[in-house]
Amino acid sequence: MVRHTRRPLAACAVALVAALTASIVGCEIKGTTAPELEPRVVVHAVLNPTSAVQIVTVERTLRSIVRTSSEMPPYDPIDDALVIIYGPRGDSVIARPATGAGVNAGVYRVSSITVTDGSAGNGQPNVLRLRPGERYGLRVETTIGVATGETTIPVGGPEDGSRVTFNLDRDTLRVDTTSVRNAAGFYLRHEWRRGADERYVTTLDGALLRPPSSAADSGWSFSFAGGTIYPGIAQRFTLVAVDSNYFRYYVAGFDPFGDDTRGNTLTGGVGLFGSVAPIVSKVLDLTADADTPIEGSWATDRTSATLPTAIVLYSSPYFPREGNGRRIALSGTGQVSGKTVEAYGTDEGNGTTQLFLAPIDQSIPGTAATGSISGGNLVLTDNRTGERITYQRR
Amino acid sequence: MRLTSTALVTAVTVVAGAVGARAVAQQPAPRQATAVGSLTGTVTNTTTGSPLRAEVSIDRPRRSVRADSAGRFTFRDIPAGRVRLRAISFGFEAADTLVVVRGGEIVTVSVRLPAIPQSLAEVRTVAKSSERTRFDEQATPSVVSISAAEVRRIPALGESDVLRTAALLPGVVARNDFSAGFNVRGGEADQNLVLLDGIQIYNPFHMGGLFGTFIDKAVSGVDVITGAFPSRYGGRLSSVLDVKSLEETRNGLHGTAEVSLLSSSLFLGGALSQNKLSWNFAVRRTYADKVVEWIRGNNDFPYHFQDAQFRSRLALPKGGSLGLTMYMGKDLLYHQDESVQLGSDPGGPIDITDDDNETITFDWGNRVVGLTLDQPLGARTILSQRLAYTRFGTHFDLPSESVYLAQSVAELQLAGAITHARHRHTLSAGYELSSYRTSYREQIAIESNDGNSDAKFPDPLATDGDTTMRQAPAMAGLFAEDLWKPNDRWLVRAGLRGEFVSGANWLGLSPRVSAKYFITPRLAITAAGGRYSQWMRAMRNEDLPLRVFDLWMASDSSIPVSTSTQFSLGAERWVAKDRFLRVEGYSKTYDRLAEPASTVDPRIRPTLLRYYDGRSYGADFYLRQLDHNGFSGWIAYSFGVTTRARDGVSYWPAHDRRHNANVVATYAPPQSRWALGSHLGLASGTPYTGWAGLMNRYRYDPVRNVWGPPGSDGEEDVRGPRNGERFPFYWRLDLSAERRFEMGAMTVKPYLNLVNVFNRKNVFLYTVDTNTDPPQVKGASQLPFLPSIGLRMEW
Repeated sequence: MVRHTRRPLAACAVALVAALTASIVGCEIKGTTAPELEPRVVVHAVLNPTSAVQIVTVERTLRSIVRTSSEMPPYDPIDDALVIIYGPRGDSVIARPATGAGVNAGVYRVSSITVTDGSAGNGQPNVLRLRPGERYGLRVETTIGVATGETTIPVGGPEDGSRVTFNLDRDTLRVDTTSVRNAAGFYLRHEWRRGADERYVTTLDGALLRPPSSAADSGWSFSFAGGTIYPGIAQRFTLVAVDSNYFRYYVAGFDPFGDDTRGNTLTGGVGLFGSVAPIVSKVLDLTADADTPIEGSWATDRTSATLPTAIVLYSSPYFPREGNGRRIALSGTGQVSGKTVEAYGTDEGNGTTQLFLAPIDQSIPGTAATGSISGGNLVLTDNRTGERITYQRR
Repeated sequence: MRLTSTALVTAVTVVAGAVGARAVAQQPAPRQATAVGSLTGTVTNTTTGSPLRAEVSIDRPRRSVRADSAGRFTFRDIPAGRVRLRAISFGFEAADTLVVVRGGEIVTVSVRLPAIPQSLAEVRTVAKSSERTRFDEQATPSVVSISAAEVRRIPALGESDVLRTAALLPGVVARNDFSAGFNVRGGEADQNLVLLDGIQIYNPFHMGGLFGTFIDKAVSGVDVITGAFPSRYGGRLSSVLDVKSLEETRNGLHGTAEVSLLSSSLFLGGALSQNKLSWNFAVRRTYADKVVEWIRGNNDFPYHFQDAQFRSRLALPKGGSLGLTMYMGKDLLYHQDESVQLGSDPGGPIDITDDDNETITFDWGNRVVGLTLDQPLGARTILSQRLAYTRFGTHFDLPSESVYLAQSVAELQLAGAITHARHRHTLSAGYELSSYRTSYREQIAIESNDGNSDAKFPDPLATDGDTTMRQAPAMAGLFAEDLWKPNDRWLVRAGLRGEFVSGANWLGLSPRVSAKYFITPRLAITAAGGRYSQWMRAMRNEDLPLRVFDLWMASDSSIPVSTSTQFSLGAERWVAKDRFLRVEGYSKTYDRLAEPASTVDPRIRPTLLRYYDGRSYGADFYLRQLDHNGFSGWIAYSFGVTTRARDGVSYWPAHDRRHNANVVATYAPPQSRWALGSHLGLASGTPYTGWAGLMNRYRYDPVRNVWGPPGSDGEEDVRGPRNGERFPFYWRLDLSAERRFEMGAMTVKPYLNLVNVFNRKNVFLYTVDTNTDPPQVKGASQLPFLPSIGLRMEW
């Protein structure tokens, strides 16, 4: 499940006053059938140097969104278009209609290589050479018109894809943006097994991730996802530089009374021809300092169908301590019957911890458990069966 | 009034009293003889002995001075010898004499001038209209005057509106029924210089442009110059709308109270000390919000506006006057979520922190204050000075969406001019110094609505409390102009205006020339041309049918000054003493106009504005009947073609109206207690951007380079070519009737206005419902049939 937030449009004021005025004095004029319209070309394409295949979709505009089939959304592809991508050195390639099972009509593909050393680039003919920082053109010829667009591929620097262990209480994840060029904005995404959050920004803070100075500290780029950064669970952090066309299509505010289709940067058609440059896409094995009694690694010799034999718990530094200041969020992983479970819970600071053990294999139901520290040991009780297991610190 | 003198008695008496001898007695003889001396004296009325502020000149060297209020004059450093002295004063015979000036001595002269006696024949007073006076004496074309009395007789929405009346004039186009704003000869709405007693008002409308700011009872009249305005006006490209406040001249306390379905207003005024001091004050408030709340029991119409206007004039000695003008207006749209608890101040907006509420605050208003000094310096010269402050501000606050926008523009101006009439020339020169402040603030917080956390993580880019944009430019301007009447057939006005705008570091010279040739005393041809510039602009989407949120910006290092070159050629024929016909053609070009990009996002600042050029041409036809036994009105027809061009693409702006006609007729015979008014408006449709279908938006994963299925990011309306469609033909008939009742010292006038008598459904905008197949186009109409009644009481 992906959530992303959109910048609210200031034009809500426009709609409000227009509606207010019209409601006062305007009357509705009886509706008539919209005239038959000449369809226009709709093109979507994003050049991505990290991919060996570039994709272009071509279709016609629609007249309504009433679904004619319960399976397919309204979609009017153009499968006989001539799709040409022009490079910065007078080169050009033709994208061919994609074939194969599960491929929709109106999708065109071209192979690509990324060239960063300024060379001509090795490759077969009709292979697109992508050079970050260079300008590319798109031309789509169809029987209903010709759509063109241009994009300059951002320069993101060498992509950091390493997987590391990251302590949320002590470590800082930084990115060197001095080599980033032609980026109108940045796309940030935080992914974890059960969801993802994404955000677009125009500038980056010095740190992507760092220990917060307070619960309200938001001076780091992934602060928007602080509520779902769970120590003890591996998560992916992605940073991508996007060009102005991409930013305009997905992010920029728009005047609904403006003269152009929202986010459109094409000429002769509508849609998107943009480009991106991934900078960071890494999995972090998140940990934290064990600075409360319940944090740390625990194990037991007993086996159980629902409670783990081993569990590691951390508290998140990003979770604001509410109430009496002792409430903490806990997260981690454990092993139940040889299967990995993810643990989420809260400790109210009154000696009682509530945990939910969610198997990674989501076909198996999870377990709600209550925990407490007794004599230096962790005691978990299955809320449903009442089974109780004592764990020693490992 | 025309005077006829049957006989002239000419008597010139000049007495050179104690010439030489007196001077010798008063001054010690110099040890050495010098080559220069002084000449001093007085000029008086032969009959009464009262001093005259005459113009006194000598021929050697050629100098002239004006005698002071005591009739005194002095010339110094005059070479010894004979000097011819001449004294002139209006209404008196001129006097010439020779005076001998001796070196090192002061010669005193006493000049007495006899009045020119007049024998008056039977005098028929025929008031010359301001239009006829302007026709005879001015070379400025494209000027239309409307009195407040005429404004009140024209049918109106609720109550009279000066700006809506101005939109019925030739060359002026109103976008729709809901907007009191107007476009003049193809220009944008912010290109009109709107003045109240010479003080600029930036947004002379109430919210949405529905009503004008001026309280009609406090206005004496308005002059509209739709093109080729003279060099004393600067800072705008299209027109000048010069509104004059009413100055009450009747002694005692007088007033007008008016109640209509829309608002209530009160006007009070009077004159004191034999009209040495006059004052008037007017207030107005709409109350539709209160009426709806009373009827429905809830706040379904949370909008109102209120304004106040004040004018005072103090007569100064020697014919001068000091005037004070003030205006304050405020619109407020305030809706409070009913689930919110009232705070300590139930009367005003409340600071809401609960982000589930739908409280909205949107306010808008002007504040103006100005002091003007007009002082005659003799019979032919007048000096004017003005100090004024004007401010427009607006702010929008929607806490539930974490949106806060605020904008203001303020100007402090010091200006002055001197006008001198000499022989066949009327010379004017003046200056303007303006200091501006613009401010735009935006606060929009993006929140992460993660269901697992109650925490809010504002976007680190949210400029909490930070001003997004602020400007503080200044402008210095000078102008000089000569209205020259070489003979009875020609009138020529030549002027030059120079302006410097700091911030933009821009210096511009704007020549303005017009010439009028009288073929006959009743038929004249006028040609005019000039260059105009504008550095303060409202960055609004001109395609928007309503004015909602204006962003005033000044030209600076990245925003160029807009300029325009204009020409006009026309003819005016007075077919009767109270009726004339005017036809005028025009051509205008515009350079470096600016508008906000449709992608309105300050995070991509370089694309915030885009620039374009333009052109407009057309012709205006104006047949005007001045008051004739109670009947007056006009027929105004305009043909205009307006285009704009950006990046090589040409399009029609939303205010391009090919044909526009207004027929206004009012009838209020002096002997009748009735006053009737009518207005018929006909116009071809204005352009709009049509709907061209829907497109699927796609979600893209930049990490995996994977596209979602069609519509994975929703659907989007596709717009057609900009303003490529036109609304249908527009027409509307309005009628009004007023009956006068005398009730003692009070005059009571109930009135009835009928707007859109035939309930013509003129299209305001179209919407497309794409949830049906085939999609349905629906329209919202402009004003429906709207009757309104009101009551006006005068005393």
